[in-house]
Amino acid sequence: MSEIKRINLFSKQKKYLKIEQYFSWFRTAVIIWVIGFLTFIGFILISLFQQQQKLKTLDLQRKQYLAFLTRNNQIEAKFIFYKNKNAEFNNIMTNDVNFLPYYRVLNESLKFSTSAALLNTLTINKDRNTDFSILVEDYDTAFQFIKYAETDHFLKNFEALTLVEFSSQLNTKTLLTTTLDNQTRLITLSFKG
Amino acid sequence: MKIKIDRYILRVLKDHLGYFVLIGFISLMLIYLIIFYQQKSSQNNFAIATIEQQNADYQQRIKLINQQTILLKENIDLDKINMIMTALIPEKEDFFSIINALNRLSSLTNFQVTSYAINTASSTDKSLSIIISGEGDREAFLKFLEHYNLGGGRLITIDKIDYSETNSYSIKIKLNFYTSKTNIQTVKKMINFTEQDKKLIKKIESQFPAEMLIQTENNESGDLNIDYKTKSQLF
Repeated sequence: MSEIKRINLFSKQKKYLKIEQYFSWFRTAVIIWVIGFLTFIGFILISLFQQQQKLKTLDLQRKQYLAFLTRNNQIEAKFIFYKNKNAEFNNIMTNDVNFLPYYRVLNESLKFSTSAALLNTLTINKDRNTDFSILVEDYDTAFQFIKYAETDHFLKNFEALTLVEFSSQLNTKTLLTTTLDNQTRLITLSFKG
Repeated sequence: MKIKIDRYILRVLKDHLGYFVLIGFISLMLIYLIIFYQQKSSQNNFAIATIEQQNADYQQRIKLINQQTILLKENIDLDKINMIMTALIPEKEDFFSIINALNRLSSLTNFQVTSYAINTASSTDKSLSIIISGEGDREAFLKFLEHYNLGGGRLITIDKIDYSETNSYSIKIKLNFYTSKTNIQTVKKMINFTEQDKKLIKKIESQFPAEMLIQTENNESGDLNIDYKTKSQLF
């Protein structure tokens, strides 16, 4: 008796069900993918639209600003002219010796140190290099001034200060005859700063 | 060896062919859109940043223009100060204005300028150097040193001063007078009008010769009056 060949439809059922399940997930994933894609397109369109809107607003603003500037260019020109002149002015003033403030500061400092010290000479150039000499009548006053010259109160007026000469001679000059006795000494302290 | 493919799988794959095509198409579109979006977005952002920067600059310039009204309330007239600046640093050298400035300084300080000589060695195309001889007492000399910068109506600088304490002064000083051609077009950078500017303007106006200011205000053409007063005794 010949054996009848039969297809067993249920033998691989478990495997087919698994495959069917995978494809079901695949379909769901494709749908999510499509939705995500459409959302992305929406995002792109909104984002680009917003950017374009912002560009339009800014461009409109720019045109308004430009129109205002064009209407008032004469006023702006005045400011520019002033600023140019101001820059030239400040640049030129750097070449000036600006003597008087330094003279006053030095004189005030001398008065503060000792009333007996007199400013004899003062040379200042535009680079603020200073040479000055002080006249005093005796050694005590001279040392008193040197002591004062070493204090911060005096030195704050100079970046550097050096005593370059200390000379003493009998007072034969007429310069201080009103304040010094003819027999006293004239002591000159020369500084460089 | 022949690979045996399950008919069921083949059928299912065939049924889902549309899905595969769709996913491939969407993937390609997505890559294209990402590239397109990045390019377009960076273009837009660059344009936005550029215009924003321009607008910020324009706003700054507008703010400056609007400042003129505020300055006028504070008695700072740009027209006037520009005329003063032009008088101090004229575009072309005007020898008569130099003589006039020396004359004004002499009258103002009592430090008499007895003679002058042009120092060609120290002069340049933008500055004229003049050596003056002056006489006066200590007070006059110190007053001269206080006012020489602006008091004559021309901007004057001195390179070096050798000062000796004495009762009367007869000294030679080298004065520098300046000229400069101001081009408005060359400066288009951002301008700020600061408190320092106001202080400088007030200082210049207070030291600039009052009679020149009156002449300036009365002159409807807006130019400085260059009809100098004649002097009875030159030096």
